[in-house]
Amino acid sequence: MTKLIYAAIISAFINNLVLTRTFGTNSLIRDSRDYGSAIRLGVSILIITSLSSVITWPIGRYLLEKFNLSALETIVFLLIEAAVVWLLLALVRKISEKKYQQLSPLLTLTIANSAVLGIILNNVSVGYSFVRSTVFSIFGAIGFGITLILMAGIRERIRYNDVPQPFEGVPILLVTAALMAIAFYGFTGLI
Amino acid sequence: MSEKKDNIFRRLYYGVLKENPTVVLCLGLCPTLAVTTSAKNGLAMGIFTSVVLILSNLFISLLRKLIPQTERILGFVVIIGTFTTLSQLFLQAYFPDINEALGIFIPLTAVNTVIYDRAEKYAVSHNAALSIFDGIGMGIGYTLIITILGAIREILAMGTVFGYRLIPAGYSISIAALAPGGFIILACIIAIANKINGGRRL
Amino acid sequence: MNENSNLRISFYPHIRDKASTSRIMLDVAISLLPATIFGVFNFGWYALLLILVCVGTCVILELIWDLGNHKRMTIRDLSAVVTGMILALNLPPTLPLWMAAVGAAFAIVIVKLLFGGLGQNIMNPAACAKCFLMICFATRMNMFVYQGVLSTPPIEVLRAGGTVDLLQLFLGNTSGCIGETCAVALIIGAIYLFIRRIIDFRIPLFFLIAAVIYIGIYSLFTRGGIDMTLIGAHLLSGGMLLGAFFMATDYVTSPVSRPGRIIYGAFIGALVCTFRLFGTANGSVCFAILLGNLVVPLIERITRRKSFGKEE
Repeated sequence: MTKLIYAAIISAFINNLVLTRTFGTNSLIRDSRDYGSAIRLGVSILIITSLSSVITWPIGRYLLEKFNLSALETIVFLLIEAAVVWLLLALVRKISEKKYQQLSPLLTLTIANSAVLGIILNNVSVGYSFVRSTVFSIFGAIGFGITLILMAGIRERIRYNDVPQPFEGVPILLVTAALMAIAFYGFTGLI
Repeated sequence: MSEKKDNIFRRLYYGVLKENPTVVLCLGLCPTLAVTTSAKNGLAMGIFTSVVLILSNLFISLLRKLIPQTERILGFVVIIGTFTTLSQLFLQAYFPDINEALGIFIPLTAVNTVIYDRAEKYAVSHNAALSIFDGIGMGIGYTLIITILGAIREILAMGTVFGYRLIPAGYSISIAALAPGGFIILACIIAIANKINGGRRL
Repeated sequence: MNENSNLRISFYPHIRDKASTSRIMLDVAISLLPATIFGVFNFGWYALLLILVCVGTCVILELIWDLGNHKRMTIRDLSAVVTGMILALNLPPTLPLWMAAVGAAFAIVIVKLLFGGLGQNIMNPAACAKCFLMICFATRMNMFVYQGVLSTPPIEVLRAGGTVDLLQLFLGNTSGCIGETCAVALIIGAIYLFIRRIIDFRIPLFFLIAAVIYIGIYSLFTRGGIDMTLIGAHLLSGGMLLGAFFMATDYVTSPVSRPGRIIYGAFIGALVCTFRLFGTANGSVCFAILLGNLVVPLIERITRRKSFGKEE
C-alpha cells in the first residue's frame, strides 16, 4: 500500500508530467488562459489518460510484447486513445449537444497531447505492473491538472505586468513554468 | 498566402525564419525541452522529426482528397504514426545509441505538434511539391533552433559542446540540463527572436 | 504596457504608495541587521564577503537594468538590497562567491525584473534563488562548516533522530546558514518589524502554530507523547524563524485578505513540517514558501471579499 502512495506522489509531484518531464508543455502554454479552460483540460486529460491506460496496458503487455510487435505500440496506443476520445464525445453528445460543440475541439486535440501518450507508453515500456501503471497514469494526470490550475492563477495575476516586450507572451509563461518547476523540486526529498 | 504566389523558396524562408516552428509558432515544445540536454541529442532529434515531418507532409498532401474533413485528425494520426514507427525502426536498426539517448521522445514524435500543425494548416490544402518544401523549411528551422538550445544547455550544464570541452569542469550550472533551466533558456531564445523580429508577438 | 497612455491597468491591490517603499525596505534591512551581524560574528569574515557579494550583485544588476530601460531609478527603493541580504542569510557560510553571485543574479533578473519589477513578482526572489542554488549546486549548498570543521547543522541532526541543545539553538552557537542560527537576533528583528507595523502577525503566527500542531501530532504518533523539546528544536533550527518573519511575510507574494493570510501561513507551516519530517530537511522552508506563493492566487480567489454592493 505504501508503495502505491509513493507511486502516486512521485507521479503527481516529483516526476510531474509537465514540470519535470516536460511532456505537456504545449497544452500548458495554450490552455491555461483561465481557470475554466485549465479545469476542462485537466479533467479531460484525467479521464482520457485513465481509460487509455487501463485499456492499453493489457494490450501492450499481453498482445504486442508476446508477439514481438512492440514497435506497433505507438500507433496502436494512439488509435486506442482516439477510440476513447470518440466514445467520450459520443457520450457527451448524448447528454448535451451544446457541451459537445464546446468540448469537441478540446477533446480531439488531446489525442495529440504528448502527456497522454507519453505516460501510457512509459508504463508499458518500463514494465510496471498493472496496478502501478494505473496509479501512475491517474496521478500523473492529476498532477498535470494541478499544474494547469496553478498556472491559470498565476497567468491571471501577471496579465497586466510590465514584462519586457520581447518576453511578452510565451517566454514569460515558460519562465513561470521554470519557477513552478523549481518550487516542485522541493517534493523530491519525500521519497 | 495565395497558392499562386507561394513557391518552394518562400516555404523555405518561412520555415526557417519567418514562421520558425519553435520560436515564432511555439510548437512542439515538449520534445524540444526534454531532449536538448546536449547539442548532439538536439541535432539528432531535429533530423528525426524533420524526416517524419517531410514524409507525412508529402503523404497527407498526396492523399488530401481522400482524407475526410471531419475525421481528418484520425487520418493524420494513422499517417504520422506510421511514419514515426517506420523511422523509429530504421533508427533502432542503424543508430541504436541515438535511439537509446532520445528514448521515449522518438515514439512521441507521433504526437509532435509541429507535424500536426503543418498537416492541418498546410499539407491538406496544398500540393505535394510545396508540402515537401514546407516540411524541409520547417524541419531546418526546427533543427537549427533545437541544436542551438542543446548546445547552450550542454555548455552551461557540462561545459562541453558536441563533446568538446569549453569550460573547465566544476563550473557548471547543472540546472540548465533540467526542466527549469530548459524553460528559461528557451524563453530567452524566443525573446531574442522576438526582439529580432521587431516585436511581433504571438 | 503602453507607455504613452496615462491610464494604467494593474492587478489589485490598487493603492500604491511609492514614496514609502524605500522607508519600508529600510526598516526591513534594519530588522535584518541583528541576524546579519551575528552571522558574521559566528562564521567569520568570509560570511561578510558573501553578504556583500549578494547585495552588490543585486544592486548592480538592477542598476544596469534600470539604465537600460530608461526607467526611474528603482534601486532607490532599496528592495534590491533587501533581496540580497535575505538571500545571503540563507546561504551556507562557505559557499563559493561565484555561486552566490549566480544566485543573486537569478533572484533579481529572472524572478523579479523579468516579471515587471517590484510589486509584480510571483515568487519571493530570495527564496526562489536559494532553491535554485540548491538544485544547481547541491553539494556545496549542503556543506556546512562551523569553526573550521565540517559539521552537521541541527536540522540534519534532528532528522537523523539525534538531540540538540535548545539553549545553543536559541543563542545561535551552532552551524547552519549565515542568518538562520541565532533565534535571539531574528526575534529582535521581528519585534522591530512588528513595532514599525511592517508585518502582519497572522502569517508568522499561523505558520508557527501549524508547525507546532503538526510536530505535536507527529510526536504523539511516533514517540508516544507530545515531545515539547522536539517542537522547540524544530522551531529554533533551520530557516523556520527567518522564513516565518522575513520571507513568508513579503507583501507581494502573500495574500492580501486576512483570512487568506491565515490559510497561507498554516499551509506553509504544514508543508515545512512535511518536508522536514518525511523528506530532506535542508531548504525545506524556502521550498515551502515557494509552493505557498504558487497557491496564493487560489487562496485569494477563495477568500475574496464581497464587492461593495454586490449580492452574493
